[in-house]
Amino acid sequence: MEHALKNQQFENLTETRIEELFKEHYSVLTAYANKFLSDLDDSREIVQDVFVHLFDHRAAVKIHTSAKAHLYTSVRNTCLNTIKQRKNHATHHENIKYLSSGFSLQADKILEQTELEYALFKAIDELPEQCQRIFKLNRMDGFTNQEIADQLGISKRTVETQISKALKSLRITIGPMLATLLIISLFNALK
Amino acid sequence: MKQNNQYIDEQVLKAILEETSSDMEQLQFQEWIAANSANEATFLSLQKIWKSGKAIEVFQNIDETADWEIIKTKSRKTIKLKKVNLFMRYAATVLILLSLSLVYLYQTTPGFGKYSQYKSMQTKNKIVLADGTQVYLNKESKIIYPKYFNSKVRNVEMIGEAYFQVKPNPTKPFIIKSGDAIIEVLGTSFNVKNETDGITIVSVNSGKVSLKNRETQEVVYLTKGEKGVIQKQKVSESKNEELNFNAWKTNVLTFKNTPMATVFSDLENYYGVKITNKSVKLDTLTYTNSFSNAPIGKVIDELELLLKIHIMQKGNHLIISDEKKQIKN
Repeated sequence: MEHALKNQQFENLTETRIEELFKEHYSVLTAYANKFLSDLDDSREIVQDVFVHLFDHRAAVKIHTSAKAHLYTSVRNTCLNTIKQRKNHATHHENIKYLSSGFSLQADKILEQTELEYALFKAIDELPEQCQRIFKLNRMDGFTNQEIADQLGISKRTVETQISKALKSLRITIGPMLATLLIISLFNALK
Repeated sequence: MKQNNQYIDEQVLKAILEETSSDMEQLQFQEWIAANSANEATFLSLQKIWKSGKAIEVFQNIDETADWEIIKTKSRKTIKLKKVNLFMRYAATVLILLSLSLVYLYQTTPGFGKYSQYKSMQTKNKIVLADGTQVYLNKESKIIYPKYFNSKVRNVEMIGEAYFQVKPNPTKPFIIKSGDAIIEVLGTSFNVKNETDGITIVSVNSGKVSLKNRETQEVVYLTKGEKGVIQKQKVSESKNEELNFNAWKTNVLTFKNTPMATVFSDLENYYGVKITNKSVKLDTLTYTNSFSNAPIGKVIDELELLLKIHIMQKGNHLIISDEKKQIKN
């Protein structure tokens, strides 16, 4: 541990590096914040401010862990403060409960979950256009196969084929990763 | 068969996930799951994909490109704002300090703001103040006075020797601070002189003058022909028997049955010389004469002629001796 700390190198935060960090983490961070706040605009603002702070104080900011850990900790703490400020709000009592008890562990699981979802989102995003569109209409927007068929002026059969195609493709691209993570989380759940 | 179990049609899995599977599909699925433990994991992940549709919808609504622009704009703003703030803070500090010092300088520094100062070197000078008061400043003297007399009193400060001819103004007393003396008048003429050892002499020529010791606040009132002396803690007044107290201003030296010691002292003051008297006979004599704008050479000649003495001049030093004794030696 001590050895690791000694060898810890402070990251040199250039503008380019911050943009890289943004591209890599912004969506996950925002979705992660949204899980606490249930308000996408608030979540976006919080994450944006974390980046703005990083931007403006890049010369002074000392990141003691990884840049990623720094970003998540900042977002999580800001969310926690926001929730505290909102504490009279009935809908967030649930959040406070688990944030105050064993919050860190819980927050890590939420983060893991969010990363998984983002990987899935990215995988879907890489599906062929028609396939992607149909899959999203079905899974995200909750339309039935018939509704999609009617909307796009194609047969229900084609819709079903495209969804199967998407599933197959996703199983290949994201499946192994999901499987590994699911096994781990199942294993953790059993403990 | 085994081969079949390892492979499953996507349509079957989809039907399972959609929960629209037929009995046949259910059976196919159960066989597939049982065939290999990895299949179960695959299905679980598929289920995950299937069910997380709502959860991943959020990513659809995050516009990274737009939000990156927002961050850059916010960042620039805060940087600019902070820079301005920092600059403004420094600027304000400097400005406040500057104005404070300006006010201080204006209030206190003669010649800069509210006050003027005049300092005479080797010449005598006449200054007319804003209220019309005339000030004759002797050599190596200094006066500090307001450019305008706006307050209820007319305050000036003087070091050295000066003759004041104060313009009468009953509503605005004229106050001079000089050495330990505070001199207050309404309108009059008088001479103020700081001597060594903290002595200040005020000789009144006309009108009435109040002379106050700055430390003890003791006051004497002086009228024409009187003089007041401030020395340490004391204030004294007496008849002014010095005929030549303002000779430096009038350039007239007057002696009227004046003891020689006083004559020499007046000459020393007026001409700025040092006189050493080695003639004993002079101690009992008095002298009557008058000089107007006379060079020291003329005074020496007259004295030598009248008193039959010898005056030797060595620069600023005059040595007086008896003529005869001088010859004998």
